[in-house]
Amino acid sequence: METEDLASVLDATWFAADLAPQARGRLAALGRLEEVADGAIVVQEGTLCESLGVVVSGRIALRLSLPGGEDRTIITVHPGDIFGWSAILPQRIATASAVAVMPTTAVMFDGAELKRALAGDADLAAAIYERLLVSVARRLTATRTQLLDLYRPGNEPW
Amino acid sequence: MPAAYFLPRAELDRLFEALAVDGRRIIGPTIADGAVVYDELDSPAGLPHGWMADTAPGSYRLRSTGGERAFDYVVALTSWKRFTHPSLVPLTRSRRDGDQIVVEPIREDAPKLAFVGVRACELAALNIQERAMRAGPAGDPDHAARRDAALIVAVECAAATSTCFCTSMASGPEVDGGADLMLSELDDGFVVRVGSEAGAGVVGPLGLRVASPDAVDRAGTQVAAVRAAIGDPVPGDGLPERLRAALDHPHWAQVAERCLACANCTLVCPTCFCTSVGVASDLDGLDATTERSWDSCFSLGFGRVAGDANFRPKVRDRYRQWLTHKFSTWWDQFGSSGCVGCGRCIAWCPVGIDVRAELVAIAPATAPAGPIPWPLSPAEGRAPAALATAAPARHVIATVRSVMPETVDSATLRLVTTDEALLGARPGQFVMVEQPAFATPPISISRIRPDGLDLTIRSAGAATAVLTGLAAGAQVALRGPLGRGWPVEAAIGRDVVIVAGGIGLAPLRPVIEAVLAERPRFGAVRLYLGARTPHDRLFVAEMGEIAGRADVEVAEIVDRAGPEWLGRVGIVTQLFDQAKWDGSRATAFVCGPERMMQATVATLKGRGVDPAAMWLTLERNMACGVGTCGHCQLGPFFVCRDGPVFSVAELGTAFAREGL
Amino acid sequence: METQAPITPGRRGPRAGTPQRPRIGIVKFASCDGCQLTLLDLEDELLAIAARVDLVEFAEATSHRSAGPFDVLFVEGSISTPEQAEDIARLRAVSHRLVTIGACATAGGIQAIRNWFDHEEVRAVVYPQPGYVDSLAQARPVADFVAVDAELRGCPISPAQLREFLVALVTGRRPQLPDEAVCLECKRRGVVCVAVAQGIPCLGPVTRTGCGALCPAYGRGCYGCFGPRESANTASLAKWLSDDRSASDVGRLFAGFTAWSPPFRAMIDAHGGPPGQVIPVKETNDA
Repeated sequence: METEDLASVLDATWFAADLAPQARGRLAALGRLEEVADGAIVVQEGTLCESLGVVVSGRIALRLSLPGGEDRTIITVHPGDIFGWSAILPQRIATASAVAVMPTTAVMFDGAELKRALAGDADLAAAIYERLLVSVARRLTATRTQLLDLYRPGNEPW
Repeated sequence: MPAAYFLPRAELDRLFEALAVDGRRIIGPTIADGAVVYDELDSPAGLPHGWMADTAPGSYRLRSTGGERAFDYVVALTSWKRFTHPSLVPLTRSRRDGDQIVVEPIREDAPKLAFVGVRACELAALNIQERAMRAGPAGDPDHAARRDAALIVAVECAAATSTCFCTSMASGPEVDGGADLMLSELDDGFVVRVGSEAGAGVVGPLGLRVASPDAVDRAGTQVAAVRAAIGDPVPGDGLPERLRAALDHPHWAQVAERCLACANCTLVCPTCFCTSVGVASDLDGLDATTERSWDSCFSLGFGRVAGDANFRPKVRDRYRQWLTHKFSTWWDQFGSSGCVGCGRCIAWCPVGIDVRAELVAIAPATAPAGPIPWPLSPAEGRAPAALATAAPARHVIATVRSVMPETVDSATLRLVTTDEALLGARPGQFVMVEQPAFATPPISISRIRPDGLDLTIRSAGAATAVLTGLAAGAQVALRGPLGRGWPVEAAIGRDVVIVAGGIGLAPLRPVIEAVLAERPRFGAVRLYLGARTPHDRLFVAEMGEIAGRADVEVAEIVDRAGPEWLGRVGIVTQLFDQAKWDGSRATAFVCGPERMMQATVATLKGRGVDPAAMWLTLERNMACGVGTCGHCQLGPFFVCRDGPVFSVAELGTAFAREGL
Repeated sequence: METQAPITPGRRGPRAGTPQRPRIGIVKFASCDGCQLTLLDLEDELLAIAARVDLVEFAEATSHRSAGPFDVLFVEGSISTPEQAEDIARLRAVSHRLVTIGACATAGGIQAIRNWFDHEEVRAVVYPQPGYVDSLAQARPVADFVAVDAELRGCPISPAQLREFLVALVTGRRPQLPDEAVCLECKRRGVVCVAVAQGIPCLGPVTRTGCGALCPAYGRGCYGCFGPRESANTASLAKWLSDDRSASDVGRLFAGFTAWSPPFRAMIDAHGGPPGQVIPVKETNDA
């Protein structure tokens, strides 16, 4: 896919929408559009996390494996949002597995490449890191709410 | 008729005899266990002649005056509510015989009583409590009957004690009417004014002479001296507003350090009306009675709801509830103050907390009134019209046609009834479901059918476990429909957003059905469903069918799931927090746990939905269902009566405020 | 049915009988038997109750002994010896629900007053030959040793509350055991407050209801035999009472049948210990 086309694909996502034209072009040049088959494991928990992805369509489940072999889906990532942010963290070790639970399209960015590009472009870095922060904060809020277990059955007084 | 008669002191027994006709019993002040209490009197001899009560915060001591006067004691420990709103009132008797159940109201005959010695503040209190007890759609029949059967003989105060502050509450000390007879006690006798035909009927046969101008003068001077002695300890101007603005005042926590939360203040208060219902049964639970007894917002259990959660866990919260209700939100609910300044709560507080001092500390007269936390006055603006046809005191026996298991811990009871009020229920209304020997839970209606109602119930306690375990043919007793429902009509011509969490989908299903029944009258319809796990989703087949329609957007999400679940995982707000739709044209209906609704409201605001077009249904400890037991209060609202459906704009900051 | 349940303190044992006819046991530790005898006070309904439950262990009424398991085990008495501590752990493991009854089991009882004294000294005073007696340094409530599912308070417990508990058990509903103050019952009955009208010290405001306001109705102050209610603000009450009595008099008020319950114990400690035991008065925030 041409960079121009990828730029418009990115523009339709929450994560990369409304970037300045130059920053958007820069980002699009780094990404590649990938089709992920239903059931494919995009990132494996505990291994090197190479790429950060922006979901364009479909659904990615983030899963943790529990003792005893049972997997637990912690959260699902929906079109517009990102997964694999470990790819641009210093350790680059995936903290969860990312599994496509339906045919999914994502724009993938090589973590090392993206990091280098951000280091060299303060404007792009400011925009992208802020969006990352928003995404992380939303994920954290969701996790806290899940921890509260709001729908937990409790004893009623009657 | 002359303005006033004179009853010589020696002839007081003639008045008693005249009052005691037709089996009427006389209740008046008498001394018991070191205090003046109201009890049955055979003659004036039982009155506390020559006794005065010295009161102070936490202290009450009788003192002999050496005189002959009977009414110098000011107010008794007991208030007249003991006789108009007794501490224990049987409500129902119910029996189970196989599938059949019978629930009958117990109606005690109201005794014919004459209350002798009712002070100006107490007269005001009787009227205030009557307004509260008659505020529900049906009113409280027991209270009304007792009040109507009482003849009131008021006595104007000739003395005040240090705990009196009727002057600040505009309830005394002068008795200006509202009683059948009004006495002013002088050394040589009583100036008697007549306030009603019944009063005239009592004094007419006595042939009393007209009171001399001198006697009338002395009575006036006497009460004027009382007014001067009391002064104006709690300036009342703007007090409701000042208190509302002081909900976060640090002084609440300081009072809580002293407050024992023992409830004495509320039970001696002549206007406090809150009650709880208890159940007693035989050993097999086949024959049961319910009775209501005085309760108090100071008890922990008063604000308890499902999940052993509690909206007022701290003593600070409970003291704030009492004080703000009495002096502020009472105005919203009933158009008056809930305090008459009788001072009982001050004298009978075991640690001497003086409500006057606390009011001055928390809401000083100099404090500017801040922004009020809730915008609407329910007493004026929110009479729930739908309730006018309901008869909530009535039990309707309904039969279970079928029981449909929904999830591992919930089931839908399909009930059959021909009761018109129940069949006329509106989406969002609820019913109280009674069965012998068990507590009576409020259950929202999950479907309104031409021949009955569906109730979707989660088994979370003993009563709900029995209900979800019923079989076809069993009977339950319903009271309702109760509460204000969802304003579905307000969404006509607009987009509709429905957000449900867990069992919260049950009260929303009638909204969904009402909207789909007239689908063309609405704009875009969006349905967002959250659940704990995939197994906890309600109405799965139905929701799946709706999701198949082209004209409804349905998205669901669960909190936690195993790998077999390919749907969304996360919190319900993730379904729409990045959506593109414009919320300014949308009406939203939200139901779920309170914390989930907070998050949903915040996200909907971010989408541009107007708080006045955001409706949610609140959970509180709804026990009576008609606004007379007091349990479900939230700021100015009785959730059962004014809600349970509210708009976010109506609730203002009463929504999601800790400890309210 | 599991009969050899492992001894795991605090772990709930399996359900034993059918829900319709629960297996019930009543056992006692350091106590006077008064609470379990309350069952016999339910004279009118005693036979009817007995027909609806399997009373497999009740030393006061039958000679039949059972090792369990129990659907409901009522436990009277405080845990005062090492042997009792072992027994309660074993009984917990064979009891689906364990219900403590009375001030001794729920709060330690009057014998917990010895907890303030030197253990060896007390033994020497009480027993001619203390060597024959094995005892713990403190007499403590059952809940200090194993998990407790429900409590019936009082010294002795109230027959009405016991009946309510049993009826709730056999009908499957939640027992109505209020945790509010005695004051509510006083006011509902129309009893004149002895504290305010006569200056009699009364623990009613900090004590759990259930007795029907028995003592105040006879002109006595409540001495707290049902133990502390929820949110018992004993510090505020003690401060108020301190205005016209000595610290030791205030401490003594709390040193009754439920002295070892934390809210009461704190006031005893803050006011010089129980009678006969002088401990330094701690600095309090009373000022």
